[in-house]
Amino acid sequence: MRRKLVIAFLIVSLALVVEMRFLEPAGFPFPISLAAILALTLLIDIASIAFLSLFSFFMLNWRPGITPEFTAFIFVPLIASFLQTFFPLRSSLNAAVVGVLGVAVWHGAADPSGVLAAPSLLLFEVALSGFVAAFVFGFFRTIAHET
Amino acid sequence: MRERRAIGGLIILTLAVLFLNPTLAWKIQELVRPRAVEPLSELIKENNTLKGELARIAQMSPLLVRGMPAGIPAHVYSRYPFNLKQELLVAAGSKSGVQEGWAAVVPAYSSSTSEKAVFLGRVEKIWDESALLRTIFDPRFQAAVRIGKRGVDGLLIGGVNPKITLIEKQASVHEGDIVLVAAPEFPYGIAVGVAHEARLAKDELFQEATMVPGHDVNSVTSVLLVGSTR
Repeated sequence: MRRKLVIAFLIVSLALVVEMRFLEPAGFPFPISLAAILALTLLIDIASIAFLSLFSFFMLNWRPGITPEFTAFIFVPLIASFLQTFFPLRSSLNAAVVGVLGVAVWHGAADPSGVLAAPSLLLFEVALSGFVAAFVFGFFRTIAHET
Repeated sequence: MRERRAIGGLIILTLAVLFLNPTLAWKIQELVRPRAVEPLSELIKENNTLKGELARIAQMSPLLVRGMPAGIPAHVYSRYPFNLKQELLVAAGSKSGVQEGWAAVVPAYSSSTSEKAVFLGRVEKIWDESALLRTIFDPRFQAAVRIGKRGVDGLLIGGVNPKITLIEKQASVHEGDIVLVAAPEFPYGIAVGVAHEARLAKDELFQEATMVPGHDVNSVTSVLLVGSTR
């Protein structure tokens, strides 16, 4: 379990660096770290997901206090991880579905009016989340030698 | 079991740092986010510092023209990861004299209204060195307003497309009528936008109208924080 957590932590850290160093300055603040965490809900336990979500929250926090979007950022992966106990899913396609649904729910919880104002942008982001989640799932299994 | 304890410890440590020292994250972010690196002599460094001062003053200068209300100018922080415009963080807090409930105004962009100052939002939370504004683009924002020369009463409801509700059914609201803030917690009569497309509401008891804001929030780099006159 420790090895899995270390690999997951490195993946999420890399996603955070890509998000802060390349995506935000380019004017495209896509929640790649959230998509990565959502993919990891299929692979590691809920306690590890809680730590990774809190760590990402800590790194992305932009102002004092707790905001709705960041509260949703923590709870959406936890809920996805909890649901895995009832619906165990372990494939790249399922990871993509979890990524799509998770980011869509996060947008709905963080900025409901924004969802209606720019649906095309939202659709693009959730589609991209699916690809990122599927990639992270496959990458993790390759690195962790999962079968 | 040991590993679960370790993860529990990591969670508790992260929570502790998050609530006790959240600014630590900003320092770490400075290491990650890109910044220009170039060989600088002392003179070039000083020149860049002075250019920065001039740029900050230039951003503030629209707030200092005649016609703007008296208040505390504040820069708007641009570091915002999710590009939502319901809230803005500004660089003035309780140490500067800012209080909760103050109005935030910006210079109008010229095509929408002849007014100089335009209402942007309300100070929602304050800290020592910063304050959080809730803008008129937040669905939770509400304020009493008056429309046009006749001063027709209405209620401004925030959102992606702000609208004015509870307008009397018989009242006459025309396209382009100025909308002024009339809530007791704000200085009276600051323009917030112009009325557009008045129509009967679904309940058919009142009218409602959309409102074109008097500013472009995406280009706001500084605001004036104005206290109540009460």
